[in-house]
Amino acid sequence: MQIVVLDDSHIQRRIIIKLIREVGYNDEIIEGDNGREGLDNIAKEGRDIRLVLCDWNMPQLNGLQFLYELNKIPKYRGMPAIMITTEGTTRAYNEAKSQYPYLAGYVVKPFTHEHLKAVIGPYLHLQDIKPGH
Amino acid sequence: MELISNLKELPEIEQDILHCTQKCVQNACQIMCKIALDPQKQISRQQFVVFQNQIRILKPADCAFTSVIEFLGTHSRQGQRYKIQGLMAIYFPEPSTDTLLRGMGITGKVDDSDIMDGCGEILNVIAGQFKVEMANRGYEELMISTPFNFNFQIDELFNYHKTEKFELIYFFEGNKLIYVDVGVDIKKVT
Repeated sequence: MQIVVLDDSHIQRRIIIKLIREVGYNDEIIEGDNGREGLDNIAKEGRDIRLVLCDWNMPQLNGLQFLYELNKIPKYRGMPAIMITTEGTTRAYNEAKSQYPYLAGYVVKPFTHEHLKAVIGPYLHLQDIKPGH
Repeated sequence: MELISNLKELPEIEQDILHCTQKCVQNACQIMCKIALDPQKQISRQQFVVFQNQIRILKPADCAFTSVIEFLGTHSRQGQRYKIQGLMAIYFPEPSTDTLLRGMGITGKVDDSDIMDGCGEILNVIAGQFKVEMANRGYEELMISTPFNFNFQIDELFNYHKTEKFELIYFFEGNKLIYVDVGVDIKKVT
């Protein structure tokens, strides 16, 4: 099962992927610098997904739009997602949560490496995680 | 150039903007780049370079990379409504980009596009925090543009009418780490 990492900053993706590896995840990671590229790459791979980590503000298709589109695909409905974003107001969090109820975490940049690892860790170690749970 | 030793001498909205900027720069450096800035910093008031009634962003001679964002919002204070329009430009001296990227956890070879991306992301994070900090101080939520990133002398012009800016210079281990320019145009809304 794969993990999806979307951020329009390739440096930020590099950091997130490094932390995912440090937590002990060794399978492939699908990357993209916007939601459109994320959807295309997921379709290309066609494999099951364990977790989505995505930025909110991205060109073409932002993080929330991406999750909305992903949720329309039966195979990926209810996929747990962690938003990693600079949108740090309560209003932004409430908007994200109301638009994508399967949000499993909301990490505001800047984040410490320890914090992100603590948020993603449980999802990387569950072997039997299922969408919507 | 006029050095500013006490922010309390400035109008309240400008004080808030500079306080928030300082807090966000410090947080981004500390949390994102694991850098504790030197307590010493320099704040001054200067003029932007104006060309054909528009602002020209000129990086300091010792800086290699620049990121710029624009912000826009409104604020009500004591029964008066204000329109706040501004820009924040961050300039990175070349040696400091290595320090910042290593602090972010980037190891191995980096090229100019990595450095530009990293600098843009630092400003992106500072701008995001700035929006939150300003909201915490009672300002309505600001709109923030995505960062423009440059690694050359900028000819980019910004349609921004106030010619004055504040320049904040931050140091790390005695060396200049980041320059931050904040230009803000505050107008009463009738």
